[in-house]
Amino acid sequence: MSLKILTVDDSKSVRIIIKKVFKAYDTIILEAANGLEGLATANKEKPDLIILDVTMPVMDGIEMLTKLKSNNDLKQIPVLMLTAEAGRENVLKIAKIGIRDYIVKPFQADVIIEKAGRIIDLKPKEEKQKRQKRIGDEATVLVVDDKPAIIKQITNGLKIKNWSVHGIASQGEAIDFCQKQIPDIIIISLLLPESTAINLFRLLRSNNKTKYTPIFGLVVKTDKEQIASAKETGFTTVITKPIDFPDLENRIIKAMNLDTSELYYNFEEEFLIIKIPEGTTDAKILEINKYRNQKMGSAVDRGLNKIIFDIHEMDNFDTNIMKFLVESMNVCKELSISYNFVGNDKVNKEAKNYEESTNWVLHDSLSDAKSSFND
Amino acid sequence: MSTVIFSNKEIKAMAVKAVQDVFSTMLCRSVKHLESIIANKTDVNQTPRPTLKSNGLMIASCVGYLGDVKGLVYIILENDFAITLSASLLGLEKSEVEEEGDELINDAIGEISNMITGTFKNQMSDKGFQCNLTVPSILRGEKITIDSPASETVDRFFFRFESHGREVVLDIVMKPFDE
Repeated sequence: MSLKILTVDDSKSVRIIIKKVFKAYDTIILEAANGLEGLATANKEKPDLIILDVTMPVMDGIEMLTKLKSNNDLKQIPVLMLTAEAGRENVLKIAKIGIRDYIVKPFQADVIIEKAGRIIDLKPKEEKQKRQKRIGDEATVLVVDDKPAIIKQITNGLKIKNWSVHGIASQGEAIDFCQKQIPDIIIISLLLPESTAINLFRLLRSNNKTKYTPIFGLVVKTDKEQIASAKETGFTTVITKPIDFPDLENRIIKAMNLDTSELYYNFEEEFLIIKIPEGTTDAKILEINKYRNQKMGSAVDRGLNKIIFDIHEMDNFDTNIMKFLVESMNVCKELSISYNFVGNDKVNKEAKNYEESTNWVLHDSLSDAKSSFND
Repeated sequence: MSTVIFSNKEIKAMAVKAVQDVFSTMLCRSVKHLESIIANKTDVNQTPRPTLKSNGLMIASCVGYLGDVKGLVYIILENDFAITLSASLLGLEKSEVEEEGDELINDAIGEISNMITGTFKNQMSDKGFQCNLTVPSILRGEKITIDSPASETVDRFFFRFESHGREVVLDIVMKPFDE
């Protein structure tokens, strides 16, 4: 059974971060915005761990902790305090009431996992789930829109291999479709007549087959009212016209929780090729970074000792990318892996602007980079 | 008579550490200290302020600290940069943050300033001066100026930082110790 972790924090940001931190583990994250809500949720759900903020409106963390510890049903629930207030007096005061550990903000994800892992038995999700879907796997996108031009646009706009788009114009046909085949993503136009979108959404959510299928709304960018009402209804996200396709692809990837590592890491012959694609944002770098240790570890496992950094598509050489590359090179050195680069004139010129990369030798093609290991 | 609690050098070291710690651990970004402007007591409002490269909507996020030492910490930056930082904090794309709107940006920037002020304050606590933090509040506008009444004797410390070409100013107001 999944472990229940209750995060009590008035900051939505912190709650989002906590959710993200535990995403890879078999856990259910419950949220509360203050001590009062926290106590109510603790009472109802009996979580395995509470991560508690100190300063909050309505009821602060100290009062909640005191109430928790004086309740016979709840006092055994371990509490991890998360606070920006690290002063020794504060910590001593809290420790007296009874906490298992505390974390001072700013915090690193690893520290939370490590401290939580000492209190509860965290298990990675993979052990429980069947194989995570990958980006190259087949996926079905169902678009419900009465305008054929939009369906055509989405069919042509989504460029990811093995994704197929099915266009349907009415609510009835959409329900029929879902009875035969469960789509991976459903996109519904919010402009269908007579609140069809909201009705269809509710029908899909009340059906066991499509209960958890991500449902996106589609609307014109300026229609703020529709966007807000769709969010309130519970749409996974709302995409706006004109459609930004790379953005839509990202949202689908996120909603389906796809393993995207093959976009960046590929094994070819005796090489591991790490590719930084065009338009790599800060968020993408975090994503690439997430897979690094596993992929480099797996290279070592396979007995490979050559890595090629393919940065020729890169169009925004910034310090985050630089940091990622330098760290990766250091890991290579630690693991005695040799490495080479594939770049082009533009990247080469930009690389000269950074102290760390001024001496890098960039090869013009992958085959040049591969053969240069023999030099 | 009032005395200085911390030297200018100590304040600078604490402020730079606070910003750098929060940027590197929570935002995965490097940040460089560019400039310090220090205005002690009476000349506070005469001292020229650091100018922030900007063209448009600005955000100033404020958290107070109260106890053995009293004052305020403002973090001032462009709205657009605030969205970028919120996205880094939450691991979201910028477009997703924009869609959620000001409420999420306020929350994220409030949390970032809470952590920066907290890290600053915790260093003062380590030196023996205890204080607590107030809740953050966010100001928005095209032109924001923050002044202290001339009758109040306060010290002001402005620190300008740069992260990947974008700037942020940390403005610390501190009331000197009364003996």
